[in-house]
Amino acid sequence: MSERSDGAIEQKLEALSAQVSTLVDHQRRRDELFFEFAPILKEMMAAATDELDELDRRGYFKFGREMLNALDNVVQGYSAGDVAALAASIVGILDTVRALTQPHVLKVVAQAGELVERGDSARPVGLLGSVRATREEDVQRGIAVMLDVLRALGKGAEQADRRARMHRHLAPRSQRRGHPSPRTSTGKPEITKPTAKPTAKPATTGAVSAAAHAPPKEARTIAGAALTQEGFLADSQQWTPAIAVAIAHELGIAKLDDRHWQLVDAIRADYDETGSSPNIRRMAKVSGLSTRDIYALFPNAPGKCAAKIAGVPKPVGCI
Amino acid sequence: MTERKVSLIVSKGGLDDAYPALILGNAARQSGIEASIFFTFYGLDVITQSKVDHLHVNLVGNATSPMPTMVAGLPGMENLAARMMSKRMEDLDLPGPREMLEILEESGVDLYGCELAMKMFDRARDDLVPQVRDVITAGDFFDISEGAQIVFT
Repeated sequence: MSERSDGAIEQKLEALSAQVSTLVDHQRRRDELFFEFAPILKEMMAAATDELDELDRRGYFKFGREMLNALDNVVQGYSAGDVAALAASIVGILDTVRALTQPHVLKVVAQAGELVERGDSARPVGLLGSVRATREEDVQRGIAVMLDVLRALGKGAEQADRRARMHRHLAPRSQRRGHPSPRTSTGKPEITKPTAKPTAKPATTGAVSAAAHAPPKEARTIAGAALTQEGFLADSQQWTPAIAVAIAHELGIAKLDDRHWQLVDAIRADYDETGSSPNIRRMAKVSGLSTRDIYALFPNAPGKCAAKIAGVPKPVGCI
Repeated sequence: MTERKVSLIVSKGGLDDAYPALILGNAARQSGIEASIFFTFYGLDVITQSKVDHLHVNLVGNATSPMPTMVAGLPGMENLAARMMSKRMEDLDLPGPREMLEILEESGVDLYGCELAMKMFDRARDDLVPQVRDVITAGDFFDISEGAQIVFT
């Protein structure tokens, strides 16, 4: 027994010594490499210094320093987001510049400028005069162009407005405080009050907003299936008759009789078919029961109760 | 849930005056809230057999109407607007006023006519739709509405 273990130890030692000698070998080669490279590096550095000296004489570095200063100004003035936005719209900018510098556009602008210079000779026109002028063909065409411009302007403004609102909406809550949305800015002074505070205690406001976002209650489950906060089945596929009975029991309906089941089956079938929960009117239509019956079966908020028991989402709509 | 109760008063007979009250009453019942609706003055048209299917949209004096008042006052305009709105509601699968009244009655909303308005417009009980539970006075209405939130639409 002990002889065999001795043999094993010996083998391990041999393997170790082989590894050590490989390492030493590597180290030695690395040293040689440095030794040989040092003079070459020195030579290269000298050459590079000459080169740099030449560049300095030609003013490259001064230029670079100034460029860095300029870049610094740009970085301070614009955020990373601005630059990204610029990159995204560079094609648009170039297109605009090209469109503006087309010969015929320049000609129109030049004509307009000429007219302004000759403006002294134009006679003042009142309301009736301008109405009369709209009979001229040139004026009519001009109005059409103006309307097109206004249309494009309006469309652009609307898109920009929508984009701005979207950004505000997506911004973190702490930032949104600074820009009250149109809905909340009713002009009451107390609404603007919080804007003064958040800088003072950023940590606490963050915690408060996080708490405001947190659901007030833990999500409940019933018979192993998850419920939404309002008590509707989270996933209608999980529905079983046992879950229906459990939910009904919780809603104060002790026993589901045949007519309850008739309605529940009809609701589920309709939900599977249309993909949306039926309202009471549709429940009556698909189940063959009358509205009066449905109210009798589920005395308290029948639409919601029946939808809960049938395991479909909350019905939307007013009817 | 605490017992909630709501009483709605309809005093105008336009389609746009009737619908909000009818829908609110229905929504109340759907939410398990007791509801009653009191039809008075021109609101009586909403529960009058010969009128309920011909309710118009008020265009003149309606600041939100897209039609200029000068145009809205022309003969036939209200008819046209009512027809357009009815068409729109049909597309949305909204029931018409008469069907709404039927739904309301089945849902357990109590519909009441105003006694004074009945006398004023010279209408009899038979002129009203059968869904009306009773013709009562304003005082009766307040007795019935005890503990209710009263909404004047």
